[in-house]
Amino acid sequence: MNVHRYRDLIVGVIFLTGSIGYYLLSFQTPKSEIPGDIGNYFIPHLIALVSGLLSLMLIASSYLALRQTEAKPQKPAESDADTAKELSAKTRYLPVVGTVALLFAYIYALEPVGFILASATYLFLQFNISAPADRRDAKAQFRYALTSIVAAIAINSFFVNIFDVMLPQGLLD
Amino acid sequence: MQKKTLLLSSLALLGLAFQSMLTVQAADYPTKAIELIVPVGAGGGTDLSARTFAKHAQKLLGKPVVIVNINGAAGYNGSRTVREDKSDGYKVLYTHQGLITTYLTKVAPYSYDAFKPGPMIAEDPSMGLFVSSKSSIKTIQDLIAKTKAEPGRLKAATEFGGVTYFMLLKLQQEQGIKFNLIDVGGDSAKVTALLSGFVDLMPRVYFGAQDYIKSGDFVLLGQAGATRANNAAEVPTYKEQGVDFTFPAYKWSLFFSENTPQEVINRWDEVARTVTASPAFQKDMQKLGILPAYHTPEQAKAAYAEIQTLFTELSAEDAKK
Amino acid sequence: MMDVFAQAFINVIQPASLGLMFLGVGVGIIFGSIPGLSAAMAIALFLPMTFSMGPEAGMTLLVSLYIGAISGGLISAILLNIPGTPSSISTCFDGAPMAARGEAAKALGLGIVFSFLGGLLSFIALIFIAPPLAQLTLKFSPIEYFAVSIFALTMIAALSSGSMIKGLLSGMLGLMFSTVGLAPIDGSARFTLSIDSLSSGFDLLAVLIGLFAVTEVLQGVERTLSDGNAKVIALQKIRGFGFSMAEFLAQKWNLLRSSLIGIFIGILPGIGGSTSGILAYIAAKKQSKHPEKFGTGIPDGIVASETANNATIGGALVPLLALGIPGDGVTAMMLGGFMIHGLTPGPLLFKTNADFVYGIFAACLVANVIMLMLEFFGLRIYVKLLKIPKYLLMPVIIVLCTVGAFSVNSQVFNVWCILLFGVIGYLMVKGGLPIAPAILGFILGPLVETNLRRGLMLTEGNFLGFLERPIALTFLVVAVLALVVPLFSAYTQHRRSTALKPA
Repeated sequence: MNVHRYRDLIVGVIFLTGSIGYYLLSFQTPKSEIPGDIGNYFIPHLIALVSGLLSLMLIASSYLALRQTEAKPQKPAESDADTAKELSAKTRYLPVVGTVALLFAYIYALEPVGFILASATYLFLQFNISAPADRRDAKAQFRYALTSIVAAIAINSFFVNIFDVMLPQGLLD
Repeated sequence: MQKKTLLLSSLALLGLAFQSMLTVQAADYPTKAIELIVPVGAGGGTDLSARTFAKHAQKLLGKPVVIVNINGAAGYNGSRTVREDKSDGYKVLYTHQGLITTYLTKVAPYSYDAFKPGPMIAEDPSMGLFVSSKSSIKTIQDLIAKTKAEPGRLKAATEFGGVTYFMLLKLQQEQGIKFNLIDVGGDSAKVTALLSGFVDLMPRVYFGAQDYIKSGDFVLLGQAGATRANNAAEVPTYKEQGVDFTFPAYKWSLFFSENTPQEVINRWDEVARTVTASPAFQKDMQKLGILPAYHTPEQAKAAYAEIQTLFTELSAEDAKK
Repeated sequence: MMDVFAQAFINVIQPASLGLMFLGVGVGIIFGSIPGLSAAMAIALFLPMTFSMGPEAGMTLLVSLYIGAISGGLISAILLNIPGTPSSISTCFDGAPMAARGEAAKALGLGIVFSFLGGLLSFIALIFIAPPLAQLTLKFSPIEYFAVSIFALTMIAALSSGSMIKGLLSGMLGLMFSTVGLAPIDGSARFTLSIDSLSSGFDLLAVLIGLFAVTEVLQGVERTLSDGNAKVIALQKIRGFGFSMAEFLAQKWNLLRSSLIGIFIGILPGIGGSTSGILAYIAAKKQSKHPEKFGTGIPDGIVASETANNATIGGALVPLLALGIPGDGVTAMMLGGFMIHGLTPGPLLFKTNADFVYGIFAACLVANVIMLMLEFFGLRIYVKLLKIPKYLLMPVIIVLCTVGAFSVNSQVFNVWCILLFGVIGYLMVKGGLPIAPAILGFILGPLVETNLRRGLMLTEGNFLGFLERPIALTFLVVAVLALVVPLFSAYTQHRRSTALKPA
């Protein structure tokens, strides 16, 4: 299945679901008791309504567009060449998922472990995820490790010592 | 057997050492920088008076007292951080009765009594009512007469759930009058609103607005203290003008999380007493138009209890209508 | 007046004062250019240091930081496609594509010179017509603010390149996120899902860092055939500011229009510099003979954005100095700086402390020149940033963003937000949704709602009362036209094209 072809349809459905969810959630808000106030529901309901309508329009227009392309004969040669050029989904998106997971772990560790240790570890691992495949040899690893530690310590001392920003110190406290 | 005694006695020793370490820790307080949490953004009266206090307090404490602005959610963010703190007194809250109003407006599930009270540092009793000089209202009597004649006509600038909101409620209920309460936002937004004339009345502290009186833009209808405040000595009270209306001052105090050792609070009490008595601190505070006002933690607690009772009654009475 | 001003100038160009200004502008540029560190943060961090200085020195330092930081945002906007401060969002739109073409120096040069000119025009307005300009501030009640915000909101349609529906949907997403937290006025917890930290809502800085910086990193690590992470952009040789006299002169109307927009937004307390750049960008696009070229890397876009955001500085100082009313977080902190030095801000500041006020004027003008100088020489250094491969640079930027997000109010919650919005931004890019409308919606949402509700209190619930006020009516009519005209022209075009087709 070519996800790209159904992209607008998917976006429309996600937004429609989101608008409905947003509308329903708005009822959890306690009512404003201020006299003469239109209340805290008005704007959220307006937003939900407009975005619900817009997503229906998007769904309709992308459905019509899909019908049109399906009616026309496909040009198989071109799309085949495209798929051949595409990287497999795994190679392509694995680093993205890895980065999100790494950031999650980094932020989670920020307070208990402390800014310096968490940042140095994050940087080292992120360099390894981001770097092109041909730049991960031992020499590069050494450079990454050094850069990570120097950057984490430098940033920490700049803010903590010069500006009294209370960054979490964690284990080094 | 002997081994066991040895083990037991060494354990006991360890326990003893641990316990003495704890007391030593409290006695040695502070061993590192202390965060003075200010639940609003940088630049306002609360922030500036906290900074002034911190500057003088750190000389006595021997460790830096760092101002950390944790703003958002009308102060709930900052107070929550201190309430949940387990550092034994390295996060201290500096705030005023906004702590009570966030509870009454249901923003926070707790009030001042969820904290161990610390000493009171400063106050500003110069709460007054301002009108535009273009208005026909010149005295507090004019104001009351006019609102009685036309209930709900006069537009009063306020911020719903803020301290000035309760001040207007009290005036309405005691005098049997009714304003059209308009939410306009904080202090400077209130000044803009009154200058541009889309509201008729503004409750505000004296300091910071006195130049608008001198310039002829505003008229101040008196101050709401029982006696004239030192930072507004030239302004008559409402009582002097024959109207029995008073309103409690802004009171800035320290608050600690429930598990803070008493020794730590005692230390701050001592520091606050010394700092507020020092001429250098008093001189710095004068520039901010805020009065140093030391009260013991017990007195501070009592003052807050009184304010909470008053504010609760005011909003209950208001809800009846 | 002139002799007071001359004296103020002489005071400002003393070596000690000049040194302080170089420091302030330099540090400001660094804070502005690093995503996650903003002008507001630079001033908040330096504010306590100014307490121990004299009032003139303290204000000189704060003004220098402000000017440096607002201008510095253009550097990362152009070189990294990440706005360095919220004010330089729209500088990315054309600055980044231009840099990607290898014309980074030209983009930077344009941004720097027009930052200077926008600032200069606004300071001239500040010095000569501050009192009458301040009266304009007083013409704006919540009703007028509502009308201006609605007008600005309709500009989302103009920001949507490609599908109009998707642009509007993106704006709606921004609006939805802006309603999270304590509702304005009544303070009820809204969309907080019973999470305590959500009661303060999402912070603009965290949202921006997420949508731009984290999204950029996620896109960077995605392995595509032309791997963006390892690519180094070739640079053209730099001469002067990198652009020709003819290119400069072509921008004269854009300069004037964008400055006026910047000053106007600046003098309205509460609207803020982050919108002025975007609005000037849209205005330039609408007035342009070739609107379709916007977003492809043309000078007009950079000029509009950078002129307007620096012009906002002079504008924001107008109500502060003439009325004692701060317009945003930065000027609120400056007000605190006045107070700590025993100066009462208010309508009498000009009369009672004229020397001080003129000192600030002189500092603005001189700091602006210093900004031009430092950035002119810095230009050659900034472009070297592009020589650092992105896979090394971006993670370090993320760590700096973490510091920036954390120090918004010392809570890890805001760091979680940058991850959340990073993922949202990445998904938006994948779904073909433009990001700029979401940001405009996020900024304007609270302004629209707060001022609508306050305005209705003023008119006692009668919306027709909004139409009785000329300024508000004008903006509302223009807003309606801004929505209807494109739809109408699209319709007539559609009719024409179907009519031309043989049946």
